[in-house]
Amino acid sequence: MSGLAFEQPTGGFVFDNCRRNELLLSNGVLPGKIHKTGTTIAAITYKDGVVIAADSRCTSGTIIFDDNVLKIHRLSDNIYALGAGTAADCDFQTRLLESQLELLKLNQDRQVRVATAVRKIQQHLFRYQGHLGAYLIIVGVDVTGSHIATVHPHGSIAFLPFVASGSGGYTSLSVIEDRFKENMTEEEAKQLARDALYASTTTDLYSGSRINMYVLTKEKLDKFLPYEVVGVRSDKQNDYTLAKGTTQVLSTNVKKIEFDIVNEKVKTTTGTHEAMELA
Amino acid sequence: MSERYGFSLTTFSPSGKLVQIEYALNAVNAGSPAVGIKASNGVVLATEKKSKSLLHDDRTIHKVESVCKNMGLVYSGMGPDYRLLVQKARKLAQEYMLVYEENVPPTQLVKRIADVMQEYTQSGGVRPFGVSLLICGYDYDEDRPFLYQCDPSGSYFPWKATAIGRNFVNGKTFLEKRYSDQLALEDAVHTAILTLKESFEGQMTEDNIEIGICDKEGFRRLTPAEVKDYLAQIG
Repeated sequence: MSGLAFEQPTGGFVFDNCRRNELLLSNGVLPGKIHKTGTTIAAITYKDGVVIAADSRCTSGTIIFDDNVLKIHRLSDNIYALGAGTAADCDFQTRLLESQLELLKLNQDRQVRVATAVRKIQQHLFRYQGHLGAYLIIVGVDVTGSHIATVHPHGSIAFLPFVASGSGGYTSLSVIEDRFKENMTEEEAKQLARDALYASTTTDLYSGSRINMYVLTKEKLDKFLPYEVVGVRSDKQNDYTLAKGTTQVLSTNVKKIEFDIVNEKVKTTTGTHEAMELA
Repeated sequence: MSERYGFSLTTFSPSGKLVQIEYALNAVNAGSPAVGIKASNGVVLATEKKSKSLLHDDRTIHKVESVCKNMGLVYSGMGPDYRLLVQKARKLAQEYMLVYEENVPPTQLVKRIADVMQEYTQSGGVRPFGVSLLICGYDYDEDRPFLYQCDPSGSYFPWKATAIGRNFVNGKTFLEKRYSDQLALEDAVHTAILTLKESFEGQMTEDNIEIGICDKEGFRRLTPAEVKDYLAQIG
């Protein structure tokens, strides 16, 4: 119905601008620069719940665009999502899913399950046939236990005991594969997640800055923002302040600027003051 | 006389009324009583929830419903119409959240819900909602609670305290005497229960009334155990 600022277009993508874009390209207009995020995200189950960790670097080419991005998105109190791939898609799709899960929770009158969240996002992504570049890791704790699922843009999912994704995903995964065991303690799990992320943030160009970590159990959610700062900018080695006279003055040219007085206005500042109030 | 113009919603009567809306208000006034009181630090909503038969198992049907984290509703009138409005209100709250990334302020949501109710008074083939809503919420920007009433016509009123449904006149008179701006939420709950008691037939127990409170923490429905405690304090 009218009156709402937010109006969803009817279904799928609108490809109207494709022809225009082709025309622009043929005329030599360069396309906009794509901001590749590059990411490492990882999730590990342990005895009481799940540990999730993400780096915080966003790159544009070889420049760090933003070194403090939060790649952990809330879906509900007990379910979180990690996003890799197209940043906008991750942000918006998780936000949409968060709203839908909130409605579901109110209507069902019970806590939302991880499987529900995964199913909903999977079916949504499949409709877009992979054009939504969201590589998500959905984690949560519900009545059936703690779960981790990985979701790919085309809509495929996998429920796994541990998973890592993004440009630094394989590096992290190699660390986790080596040391993962069932029913770890919280400290072991946190250390493993940290080590996995540390490996990626120090080897992958596109991951780094901070390691953000959440620990989610049935009872609590611990946020570590950050758990560790990896990309610390070191102090300058030298003093680069330049002494006056370093740049030699070769010539001086003083020019008088001609101007005309257009308007003159005189205003008195001393005038009728309000007598001070003495109670 | 104006009965002659009562059949079509979209036709005014000579006296300038839309008689269908008047009749909708009649439906509301025949419904079970509901009370809303705004305290200094929160709002309380209370309603009678009598089962028609001893065989009813009413534990999962609720009259006091939450719309989002900081807002709740209760009604007087037709239950099914209320159910629909609750769904619409919840969706509107989420739509706001998606656009502004903030919990919807009570004033905004009330306006949107009232607009929905107004639509049903100016469209073809529909009838007005046979409910009046009491909407409570906490506004985090202004750091204060709000209580609103929404009528079938689409008009909404902010209240300090009000009663709707059966015997609402007596309820309001009772509240006028009892209300004060310094009321705390605890006292407001007591006052709400006493107001309901004025028009209650039979023994009031934790199973035949429902209470919801909204404060800075958010909106929640009281559990039967909590309601029992309040009733015990009143005696």
